[in-house]
Amino acid sequence: MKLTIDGKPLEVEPGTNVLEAAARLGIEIPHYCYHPDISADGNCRICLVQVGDATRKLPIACMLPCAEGMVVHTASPAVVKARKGVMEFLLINHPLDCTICDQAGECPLQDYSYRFGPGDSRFVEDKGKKQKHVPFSDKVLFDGERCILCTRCVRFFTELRDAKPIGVVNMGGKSTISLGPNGPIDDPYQMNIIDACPVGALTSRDFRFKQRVWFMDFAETVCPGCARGCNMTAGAYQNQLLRFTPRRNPEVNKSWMCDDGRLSYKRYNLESRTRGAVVRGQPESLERALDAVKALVGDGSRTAVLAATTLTCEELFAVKTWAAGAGVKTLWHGAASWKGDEFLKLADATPNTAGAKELGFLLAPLLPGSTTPRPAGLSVLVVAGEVAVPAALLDGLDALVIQAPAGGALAEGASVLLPGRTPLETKGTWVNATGHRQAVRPALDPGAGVPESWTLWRDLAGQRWPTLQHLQAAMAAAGSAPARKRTPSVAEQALAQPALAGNNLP
Amino acid sequence: MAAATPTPAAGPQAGGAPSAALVAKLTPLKARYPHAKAAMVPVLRAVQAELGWLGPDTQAWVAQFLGVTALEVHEVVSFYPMLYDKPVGKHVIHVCRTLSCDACGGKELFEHLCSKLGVQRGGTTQDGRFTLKAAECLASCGTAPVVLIDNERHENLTPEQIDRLLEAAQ
Amino acid sequence: MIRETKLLSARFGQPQSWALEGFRKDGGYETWLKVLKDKRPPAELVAEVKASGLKGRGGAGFSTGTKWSFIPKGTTKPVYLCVNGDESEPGTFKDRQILELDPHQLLEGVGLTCYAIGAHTAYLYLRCEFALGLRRLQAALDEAYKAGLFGKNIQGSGFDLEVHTHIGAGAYICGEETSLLNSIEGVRPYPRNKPPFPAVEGLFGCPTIINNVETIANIPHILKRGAAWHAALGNKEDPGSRLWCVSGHVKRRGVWEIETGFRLAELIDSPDFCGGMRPGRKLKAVIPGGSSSRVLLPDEVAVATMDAPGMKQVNSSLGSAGIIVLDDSTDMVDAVLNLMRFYAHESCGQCTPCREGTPWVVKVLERIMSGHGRAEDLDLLLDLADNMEGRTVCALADGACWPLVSIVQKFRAEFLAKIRAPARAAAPAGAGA
Repeated sequence: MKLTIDGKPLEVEPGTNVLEAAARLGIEIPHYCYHPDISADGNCRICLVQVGDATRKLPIACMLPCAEGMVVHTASPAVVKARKGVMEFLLINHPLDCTICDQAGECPLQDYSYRFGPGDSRFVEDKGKKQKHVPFSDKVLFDGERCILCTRCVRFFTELRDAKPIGVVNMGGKSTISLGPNGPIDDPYQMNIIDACPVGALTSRDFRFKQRVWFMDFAETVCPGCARGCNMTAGAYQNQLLRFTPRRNPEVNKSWMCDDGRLSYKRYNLESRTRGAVVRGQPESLERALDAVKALVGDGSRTAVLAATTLTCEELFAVKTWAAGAGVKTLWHGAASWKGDEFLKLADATPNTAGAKELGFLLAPLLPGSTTPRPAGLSVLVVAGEVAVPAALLDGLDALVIQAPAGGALAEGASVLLPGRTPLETKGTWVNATGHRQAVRPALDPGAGVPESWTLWRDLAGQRWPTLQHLQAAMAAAGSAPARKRTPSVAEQALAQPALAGNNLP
Repeated sequence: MAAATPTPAAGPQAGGAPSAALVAKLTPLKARYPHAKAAMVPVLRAVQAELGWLGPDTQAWVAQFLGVTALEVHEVVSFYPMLYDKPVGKHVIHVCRTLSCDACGGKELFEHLCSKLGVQRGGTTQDGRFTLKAAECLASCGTAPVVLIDNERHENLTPEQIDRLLEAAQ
Repeated sequence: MIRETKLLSARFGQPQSWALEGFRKDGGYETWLKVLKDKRPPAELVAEVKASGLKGRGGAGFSTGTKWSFIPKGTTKPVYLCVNGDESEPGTFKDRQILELDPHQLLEGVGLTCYAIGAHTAYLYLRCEFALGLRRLQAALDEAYKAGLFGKNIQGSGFDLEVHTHIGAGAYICGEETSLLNSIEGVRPYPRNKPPFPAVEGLFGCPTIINNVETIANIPHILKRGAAWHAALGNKEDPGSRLWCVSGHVKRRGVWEIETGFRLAELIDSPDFCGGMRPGRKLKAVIPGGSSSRVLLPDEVAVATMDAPGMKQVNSSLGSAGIIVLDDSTDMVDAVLNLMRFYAHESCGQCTPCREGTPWVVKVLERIMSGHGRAEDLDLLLDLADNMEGRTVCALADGACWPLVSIVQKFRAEFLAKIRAPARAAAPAGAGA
């Protein structure tokens, strides 16, 4: 059906609401209680629009189905005034907490106040008081005064988690969100309500008071926790990760990620790591270390490679290219697992198993479910990345080469230790379990003595890729990067649906 | 209209399950609806009439009776003015304070009761006999001032008349 | 000349008027049984009610027959009737008369309505404060069931109908039809956004009609005597015989049944009705349609006729026919504060403008009453009303805005007096504008 929004014509399929239709035209209609991945509730009233000439009653765009010939105005004088009125109503009892509220700087209440609000306050009465910093769990804190009762948090649980740990209690101006008698929220996805909350009413206890977001550096990347590949934003300050938050991807993770993945950022703030190289227990230059590796590998006939499935496709391609040139015919990938669930978590606890498989790596012998045989006469194992090595695989080895951020338990027995980067320090591509080829971007700088991991394999191979792009071009030429489902970049997503970020600001 | 006898045995108690006799009466209520949850408010009012108020244990009992969570019961109880999640006195008095009553003696009647009973709005007397609440329009504006005592309506009340009614309440 | 009608209220004065025996003696349930026996096509009944011009008596005044016709044809879902007996609009006490004094009249209307809309289950929602009304209605329902007037295969007609009473727990908002549905469903009784409309997706997600008690009580009369008969009662555009409530500062308060179109001033002044103002007092203001209507000044009362077009002419509404009369002893600032406290208390809290706006209005008015008003407060109140009316999920905020705006506008001098000389501002004599 055809309609007009702010004078612009548009054709939509039946069932589309005006908010979504406007977003397709790049027109943002402000919203709080509406969320693209939860139901519409129609309570905040900020998405009011004008249809035709009727100004006495203004419908809400999020629940207004498009109709043939409908003429919608999203910024008429009546709408602008009504919107200002709603902003004013939202602010009158809202506490002046910005100076101590973690949401500041990424707060849709601040943003819409600035863009649509009245500016000055006309409220000279006493503000209503409610409970502040109420623990909803060991992960989430609730502030009743900041809450605008959009009920996204309640609906997240009832609609997506089939549970009701929190609800709305009391009546009228005394209404607030509360736990039930069963006590704190116990859900492995509960921290998503922190992002869903458009104000500072639900905040992360882990992140509380750590840093102001405008001082932080953000990288748009992918969670390394499992093969789901939830899109996320890694936030750091002075080269230390402070948090992970989900980024919306309608095809992969919607607006969500699991709490385990979210809190796994701590793992990537390394206390100690390998800088430069270590050969037989002694620090050595990278050049000499690579020579040592060449010497150990020899003609490659008795060497196997075990690559972690946290490596990017580019890193794996570099390893494979070296192996081919060095006569190493045995390419294995590792595995790690945890308990998956029916929501986002997949049992494969690594992000790029699909990428390794498509490049021809096989599941290493002796790992659960593996039918790969251990070749006779194996004497050199080259381990790329942080991966669990089955103990029996080490039997009878003459040499062990490890390229990883830290050598770990095997460091003592390693012939050569090469420095490696964590996924949070790496640029490249991962392929998730649903075939999405997603961009990995670094959030941290590892510092001196830790070059980009793929360059070591390039140098070992004697390849001449000056930059990562050159490697990627080589991958394409080798047909190693088949065209698959590609996640649109954040910029592309924004063009498509600028208004439906679900208020998840990076 | 003249009052019937006040609801028996409605005093502050420790909460918990209602009597077996009441449970027997409440069970068929659920069958009136396609979902047992719809019996929520009638069941809560009936249980409250027997136990006086709806404490956490009572709410938990109602939850399991209806097959819902205690939070869902709490959400409902905390909303409605005539569902009490705090203990009340043996007799609950509601004085209508909306315009037609207030403008025809309701305000004075309420102030009289506050001073006579020695309580503020919402308060309970020391001896636990009376809780005084303000109500909004009780739909008897033509016979203002209007008061409910234990949910029975009393109309055209003077301070003397209400004093006599309170004395008569056991 | 204003004249009492005895249609809905015909049996009120009789002894045991609520019992089945007297009701049947007066011809009760004959229409119900005839409709069942003749197997009158339901669509015919809907058309009859539509043609009668009957409008809803709960306050919104929507055409009853038109509402019934919104039930989707050929729906396979169960259809429900909910009767709205939540009567909580300040100034209104007429539905209670029907519940207490002639519940069988309502029940016959319930039967006929369910038959017309294809409902086999009806819930009669009563506010819990109607203890006597509930007792009488439940007793009447039990009598009717015993007499085979409800239940399965009523009188061998093949038509099943189960009728249940259901109570609320003290919230005015439950009188809003979609809030009533949520109240019955056992969840927090927030009003619902529309669309979808209840006739399509209502109680338990099924097609539902919600009608006021008085509206339903009209149905047996209309179906017995015909649409044309009803359409000729009272005012042509807004026909019928209604129950009118008068409270406040008149000599005689009460409920009178009168055909639409009479003069409001006559109702107030006539010795056969309210008998004029209290001794020594003059009329100051009338809120004609329950508190959710715009206030009228004496010169407007003098010309107002009680029908929809007549109320429109004086920029007010019939609403729930709850007429509140205020004399010159009234402090209008205090009066509007009383009403705004009502709306703020009764706000369900679901949506922003009402939840935040109604308590704000109360705080401003309290500040004016306590002598701390400011010159800009009046325009502030009017602007807050402008930002609430038409911006919310339901009409509670609209209901608050109508008396607020009209009283502030029409009694501006009284407000200003309190603001300028707070210590000296007592209840002024005479109306101000």
